[in-house]
Amino acid sequence: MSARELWSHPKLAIAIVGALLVMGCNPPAPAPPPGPQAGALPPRIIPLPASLSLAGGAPFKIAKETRVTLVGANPEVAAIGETLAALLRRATDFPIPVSASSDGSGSGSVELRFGSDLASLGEDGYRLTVTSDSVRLVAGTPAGLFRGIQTIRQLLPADIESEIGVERGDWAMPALTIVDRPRFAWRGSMLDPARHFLTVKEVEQYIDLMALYKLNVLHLHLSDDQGWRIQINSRPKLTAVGSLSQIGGGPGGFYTQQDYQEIVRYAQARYITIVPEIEMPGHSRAATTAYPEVACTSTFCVDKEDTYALLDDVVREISALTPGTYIHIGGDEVEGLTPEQYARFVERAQTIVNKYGKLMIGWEEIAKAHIKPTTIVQQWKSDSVTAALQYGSKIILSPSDKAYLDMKYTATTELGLTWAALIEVNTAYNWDPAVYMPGVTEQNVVGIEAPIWGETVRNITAVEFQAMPRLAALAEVGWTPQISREWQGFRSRLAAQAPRWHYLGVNYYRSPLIPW
Amino acid sequence: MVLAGGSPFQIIRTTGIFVDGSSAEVTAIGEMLAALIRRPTGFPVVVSPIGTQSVGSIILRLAPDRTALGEEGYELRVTSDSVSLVANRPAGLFRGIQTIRQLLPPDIESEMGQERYDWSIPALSIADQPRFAYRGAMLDVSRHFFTVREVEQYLDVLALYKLNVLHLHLSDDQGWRIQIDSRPKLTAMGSLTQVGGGPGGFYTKRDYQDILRYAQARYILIVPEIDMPSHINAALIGYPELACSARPPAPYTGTDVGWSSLCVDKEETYAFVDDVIRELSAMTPGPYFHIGGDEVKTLTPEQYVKFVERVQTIVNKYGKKMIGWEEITKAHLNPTTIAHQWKSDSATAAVAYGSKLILSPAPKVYLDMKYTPATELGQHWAAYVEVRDSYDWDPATYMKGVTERDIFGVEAPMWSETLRNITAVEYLAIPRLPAVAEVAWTPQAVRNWESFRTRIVTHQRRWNYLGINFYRSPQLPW
Repeated sequence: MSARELWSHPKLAIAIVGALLVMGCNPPAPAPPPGPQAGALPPRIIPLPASLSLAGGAPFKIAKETRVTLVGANPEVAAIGETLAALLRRATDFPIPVSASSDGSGSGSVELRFGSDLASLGEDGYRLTVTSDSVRLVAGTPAGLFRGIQTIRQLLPADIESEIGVERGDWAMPALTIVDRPRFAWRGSMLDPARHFLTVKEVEQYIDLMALYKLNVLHLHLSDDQGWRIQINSRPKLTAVGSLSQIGGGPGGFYTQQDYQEIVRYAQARYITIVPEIEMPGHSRAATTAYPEVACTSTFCVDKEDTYALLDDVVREISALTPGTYIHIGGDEVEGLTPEQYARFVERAQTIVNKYGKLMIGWEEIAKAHIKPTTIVQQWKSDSVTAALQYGSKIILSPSDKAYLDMKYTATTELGLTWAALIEVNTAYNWDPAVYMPGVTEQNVVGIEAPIWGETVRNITAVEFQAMPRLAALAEVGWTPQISREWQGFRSRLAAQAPRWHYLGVNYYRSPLIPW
Repeated sequence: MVLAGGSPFQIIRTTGIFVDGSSAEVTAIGEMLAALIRRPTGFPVVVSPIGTQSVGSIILRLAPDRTALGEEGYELRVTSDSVSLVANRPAGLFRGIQTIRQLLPPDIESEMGQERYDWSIPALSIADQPRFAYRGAMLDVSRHFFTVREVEQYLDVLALYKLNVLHLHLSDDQGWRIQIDSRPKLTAMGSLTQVGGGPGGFYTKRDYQDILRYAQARYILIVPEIDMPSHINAALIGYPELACSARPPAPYTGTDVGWSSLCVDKEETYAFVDDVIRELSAMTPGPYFHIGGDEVKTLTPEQYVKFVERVQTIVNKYGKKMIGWEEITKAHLNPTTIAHQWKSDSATAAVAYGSKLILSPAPKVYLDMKYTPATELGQHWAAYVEVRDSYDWDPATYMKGVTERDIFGVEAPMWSETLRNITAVEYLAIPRLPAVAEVAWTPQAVRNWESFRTRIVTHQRRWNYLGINFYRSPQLPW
């Protein structure tokens, strides 16, 4: 039996996928010659792995005797093994025990192997080998194992997502080998609980969705004109005064420090980093209403020491609550300041962030200040990004005409805005971060992020309508090598996700571009 | 409803709302309507007491003499000059506002300003009141816990379709979801998981008050249910001395039923039941307490009957009327007790006691039944229930020996074994819940599937604005 290296040559892979698709939808006559994979569709994985070869043999079947074995386990890996076992147990009703093993684990097992000798697979990389006999997942980091589990999940029938037992003939995974690692280190999304507050559970639902598509950064826009959403003990009026409303007049809300830590923990368990954003010096009306002594026209008073004392308090407390490396200071859309005032403010904010051991991120306008090479610039409209490069800063790409999930899909989409573009699923998918902006190459880009501004979305169900399926498209932009990506293949893989979303309770837009 | 055929009423920048100045309740209803209109139009929409009415106004008025309108009836007259809404009771005004809302374009549901130059309501006259007094939905917060915010989202859906009862199934084998101060181990030990193994949760008394307030503002009654003597495992984890179950009490995340039981022959059991009913009754302003009583597999008929009758006495002692699933009709019921039909084999016995019935026929209104065999969520032990199945039935002829006069109302339960969040709940609820709402509200002679299916599809845009998930049934012309 000869292995077929489906994705070893990307162009060939595309041709084969295309041919299989045609066969699947509309079988040609005469019938194709029978082969090991005749009639089979390639696995419907999103994001598409960097390399995948179907072995062509019999599949692995999860059965009553199947167990999860851990090689080289530490408590973190044991927790990942338990996550996988819990997933498998729910739908199959099989016991799926988890045990540690020093050697290989043999027949009938799903083996998770963790070893620092596998560091060449990178931070999120993994290798997955499925034979009729066993499943072997290896990685050099726990994060790599976690990403690999998402692949196992997507290789199994969608019924695996059920909360209760499903009567089903078999739980098969195709025999294959996947060697996978992400294109970009930063694969993010942003929620805006400032414009409409989202509960902890709602944020966790979004984290679940991100985890399924191997995203690894959730940026929380925790303050804006409409609301301050994070408890700061040294500045109690921020929430006491600043959290009580939202767009549309609803009651708003805020995260206690305990709530925030719960979100951080939930994200950590899914190898997702929380990046908190406190918007300054503009978009700050909720804060300046609470502390009018730092309020100047439409921004914080950048020439008052009181302002920096407030920022110090906020950055200090949030830094202490946040295990991740980054604090986002906003910095966008500032009116009423001279360029000198703005630059001075950003530079002082940068000093404060660094003082508490964190690195700074800001929207692209911050490139007008003198920023450090460790500071990251988040592009959104492109006109001040290239200035960042002269400082040696890296760039997160969030092009508003590709990756802003609050843009409407079409002119008739009820939710969302239109100022940047109408963004159908293909628009979100069909772009290359390495060539999106003149002068910005792959080396300048740390990754991409898909923001969803909250003006029109009053709950997570509405958020999901805007996010899905575009978030899955952008996850693939961030993960999969450009040369392997291809719209026709993506749309058929995407269509296969819908039953999963139904099981998981995920709302989505039924784009007419997708063959649901 | 009579379409007047004249020019419509247009909401414009100067449109105001005039309300009966004497009633704070009516003012609050006026403010709700004003807030709704302000969001997408950006118009100021001032609410003022009735006095000098001007052209271009919306008038909300209570008419104490119009008792024929009943608790929830209303009259709505729309001309090109004004919108006049009259009701005998505030609840009627609130229901009427939902009609105004649905007469406006779906863009009215937007959270932010819409560029739209025509916010018109067709000229017409509507005289409306519900067929049944009790029009409910049930949410099972035990099999999967739902946050206060999620319950509120469901209440918003109920309100849009003029439902007036949310029955909360607060306890079952998998989780105890309501704080009871005298029995702290109920939540400390009984709330920590759910089906599928998630972390569960419970409502503090304050959470429960939040839900009650949110429901009250929408003229929706909360009916709390504590399911007993079976479906009780979660309670027994902390109080094993009350357990006479087939298995020892322990956290349970599966979906079997009927195996757990209180020891109905022990006095401690009734002290426990008294504590729970006392505290929960004190927290609940509504007149009803639902005691479950279904699917008891480990007791003799005599034991079961004795238990139900003692619990009925306790419920009545704390000033509430008892509701129980239809199995309770095996006991001797007070006429004020209500039997909750679900499978029909013991419901008719209630009629002999003079008890009323709530109808929740599983093959029609169990919203956790799959739509078709391909539906991912839900179960199918009773039936596959497509939208038309939920719509095309008549409560008055559904069961032999049960007539319209025996029926208190209709309720659509949502058991949550397969549903891990409100988005999943909505996928099964919509569009069947609006179908059931029409079964319960609209006179049978006026209802018509063809009409319903063309009306319901126009609600899709509203659901999208509101962040409501739904099933795109192939029976409907989307």
